[in-house]
This record gives sequence, structure tokens and C-alpha cells, in this order.
Amino acid sequence: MAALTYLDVEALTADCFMGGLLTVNELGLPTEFLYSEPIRPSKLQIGLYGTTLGRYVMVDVIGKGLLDGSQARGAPVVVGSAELLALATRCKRPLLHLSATNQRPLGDVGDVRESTDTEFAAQLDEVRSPYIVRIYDRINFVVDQHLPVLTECAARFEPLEPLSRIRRTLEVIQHDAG
Amino acid sequence: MPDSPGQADHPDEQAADGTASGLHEDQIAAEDLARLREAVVLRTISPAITPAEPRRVEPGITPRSGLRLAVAPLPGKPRIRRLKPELGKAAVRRDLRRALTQPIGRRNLLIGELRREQERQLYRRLYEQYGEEARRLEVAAVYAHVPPEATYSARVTDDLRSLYFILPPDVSPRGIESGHFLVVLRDPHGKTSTALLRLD
Repeated sequence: MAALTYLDVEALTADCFMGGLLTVNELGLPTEFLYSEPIRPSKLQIGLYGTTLGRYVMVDVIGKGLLDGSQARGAPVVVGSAELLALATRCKRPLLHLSATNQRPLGDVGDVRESTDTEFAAQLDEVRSPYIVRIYDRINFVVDQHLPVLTECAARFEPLEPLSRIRRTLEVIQHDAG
Repeated sequence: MPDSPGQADHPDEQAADGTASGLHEDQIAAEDLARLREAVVLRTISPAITPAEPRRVEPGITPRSGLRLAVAPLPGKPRIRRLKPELGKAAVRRDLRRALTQPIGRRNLLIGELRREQERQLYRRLYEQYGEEARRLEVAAVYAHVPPEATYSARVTDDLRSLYFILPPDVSPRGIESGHFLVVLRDPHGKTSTALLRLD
């Protein structure tokens, strides 16, 4: 059974971050959801990390914490922002960032049009536009091995839709926390 | 007679009356007597050199007492505090129940996304369900893989581009079968209705 994991980290305010991880099955139905408590760096940490603070919090603290806690070990991870692809250096799971296009379909499902070493267009379903896939490197994401999981899921649900569920769920958690 | 104690060359020579010179004390001037006594005392001191009592000498350089007031006392070591800039690990919580309360989206299938066989099945099922009335119905939208357990909550957007449903809390996502398609039908008056069809 194919499964996909979605990971996103949001800056609730300039100095408050929260992340969520959602694993869905081949029908896009949730099988696992994890979230991090809001992280508020201190003034000392803001001063010491400077402009690297956001990346550190998103990747090393929240992103890695969520992936470490996930039980869907083999499922490819679709990240909500390309910045999170740096998690590939902290975990063994294949990571990718997806963005929709309005381009003409490439041809058959699974067709790939190479752009750079870390970016390519991929036809994930029969008739819709291809997606731009960004990856960290070809060692972390092996196209022949991991792309079929995406195409299997994209045949049943829109592969970017679960990311919006993470955002909505985090909003609910924030709201409930007051 | 020597005029100083150091001039007594023969210390062993002593008069029978016990005096150094053999004269009676009253015969000696008081000043001379004092000198004589001093010389006798000095002669009884052993000339050998005796080692002095060893004294411990601190090798450290100590500020002279005059400077002590001028130099502020320094602490032995500077106080260094180690700050921990790391944020540590994020507190991660598991809450599938809350994720299941969020609507799950499906998009309207485009022409060609249904396989030819599925398309045939769709019209056959509609005919079975609506009879001749099916000929007057237009298929306005089709959404794939909508669980029968969730049709009560299905909501279609005004533009028909998307459908959202919520899984009932007592239904496990793992037990849900694929293959149910929710179809939006429009009659000649523009009124819409939905039908859930099983397509293989």
C-alpha cells in the first residue's frame, strides 16, 4: 500500500513556529498526524542565530523532531516549502517539494523532463498538467524508486491537497490552545 | 695587657686569684673592669659556626606593602558562563483524531480521467438507478474515491471544482475501500442532485 507523508512548518508570528506531519494512505485518508508545540526562540537565541534562526528552527528543531516521531518510515515526504529539503541531511527518508504548473502534459504517467540535478517536471496523472518536483539530491530521492509512489497516489487524490489539511489542523490546535 | 678583648693572645694563662690579669678588682678602674668583663664573656663564646634555623621563604612575588592599596584585587579566574543557544527538541504530539476532523478534498475529474470502461459503467449504473429519467440528466461533476461512510458530510463547491468530506470519527481510514465515485447530476431545470456509484 502506497503512503505519502506531508510535512510543513509555519511561522505563526515572526518569532513563533509550529509544524505538522500528516501521513495519508493511497486514498489520501489520514493514518498519522503529529504536530509540534509552538516554538518561541528567546531573545538570546534570536540574537545568536540571526538570519539563520528560521532555518534552524524549521529544519533542525521542528522538522527533524516530527520526522523522528513518524512511524511511516519508508513513505516519501512531501515538504511544504523548499527550505525543508535540507532535512535530507538529517534523515534517511526521501524528500520532495511539489508545485503545480499550467504546462501541457508531458505524455504518459511517470514521464519526467529533467531541468537541473535537483529539479524536474513530472507527469503524475493521466491528463492534468505536470508538477515541478524539487529534491535535495539524487541520492536522497531516487526517481525510479520514489516517483511511482507519487503517481499511484496522484491517480486517486490531488497530491498537494493534504498540505492544506496540515495548515487547517494547526490553526485549530492554535485556536483551541487559546 | 691587651687593650681590647681581641688582643688576649693567651686565653689559657690565668692568675691564681682568678682574675685575668692577676690584679684585684679595686685596683682596676671601673672602665677597665667593664672592658675586662666583656672580653671574658666574648672569649667563652664558641667560635664554631652553627647552622641557622632554616626559614621557609615564599618564592611568589608579593606586592610590596606600599602597592597593595594602589592595585585593585583581581579574582583568581574570570567567571565564564556557558549559554545554551540550542532550542533542544521540539515537543511532538500525536493527534490523528484532530486531523480526521478536517475535510478531505477531491477534485472534479476531467474528461479522460475516467477510464473508458469506468465511463461505460457510470452510465449503465445511472440507467439502472433512474431508468429512462437518466436520459434527461447531465453529469455535471465526478469525484473519485469518496467513501460511502462519508457521503452524509460531502459538500461540493459552487464551481463544482472540488468536493470535501469528513470521515466519521468511528471509521478507521484503513478499512475504507476505494472505487466509490460521487456524481453530481443536473436536470433540465438546472436542479442538481448527487449519486454514489461503485465503479471498478
